[in-house]
Amino acid sequence: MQHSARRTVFPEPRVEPGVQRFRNATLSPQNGLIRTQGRTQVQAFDCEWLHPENNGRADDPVSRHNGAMPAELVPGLPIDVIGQVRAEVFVVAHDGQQALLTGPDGPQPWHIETAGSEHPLDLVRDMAHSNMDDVQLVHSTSWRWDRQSVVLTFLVVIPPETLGSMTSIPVPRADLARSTAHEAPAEIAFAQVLEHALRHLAWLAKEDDVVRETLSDAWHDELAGYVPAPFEQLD
Amino acid sequence: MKYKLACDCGWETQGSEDELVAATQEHGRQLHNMDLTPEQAMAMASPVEE
Repeated sequence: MQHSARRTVFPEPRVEPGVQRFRNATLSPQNGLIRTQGRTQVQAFDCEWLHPENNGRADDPVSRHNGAMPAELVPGLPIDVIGQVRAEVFVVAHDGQQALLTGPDGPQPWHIETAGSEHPLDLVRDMAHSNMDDVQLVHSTSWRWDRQSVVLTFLVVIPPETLGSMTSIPVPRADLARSTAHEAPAEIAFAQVLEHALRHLAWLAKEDDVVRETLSDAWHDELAGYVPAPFEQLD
Repeated sequence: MKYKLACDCGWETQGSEDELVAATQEHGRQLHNMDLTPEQAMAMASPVEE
């Protein structure tokens, strides 16, 4: 049986243990989720799949595929974080010469799923400590709406000796994304989010005694080149 | 049969079903705070051409 990841329509909703069915649901080939009316997200392996060649007609039992998502539907799909609140972490260090972006999964945004039972700040702090030898600062810097979830951005500052074998790159500079009066920008690149995070760190370095005393002279010199900014929604 | 799986963060793994599931569950838990079932891990895997 061949399957396609383009669009799958489900029959009338019916509640059964282990099986979830939805009408007018769309399979997202990006993350393997089912979205209904743009609101409900259901992990695909909980669903009954319908063969797309007959447009997912409910009266054709041959078209159904119960259980796990057919492998041919999702070749190469990445792991995706699916919580309604996602933590996005930028790990930075200053080696005395320049600010560096790094992280346990590389020099890029580090995505962490929140379960709702733990404060996101506590979660990020715990994850940072469990994946890196030393952590100097953990601070939330902004939030935004992205991929149907709230993204809380955190900046984690580590001492340069903690860089170890983690890959790092110079912190990129970017212009901030700006919205119109009533609409968010269509796309915010991670460099823009990081730019704002460091602007917020520059603001904290002036306003927060703990941050001011924790940051090295090299960091203070670096942050002098950033326009201080408060925590805010990036839109 | 061998399978492969790639995470958004760039991490990749491949191996037997048991190896892939174990490695993916560990990666998800350690780096992304995700508890994946074997079914979830395999749903994101694809066979390796041999």
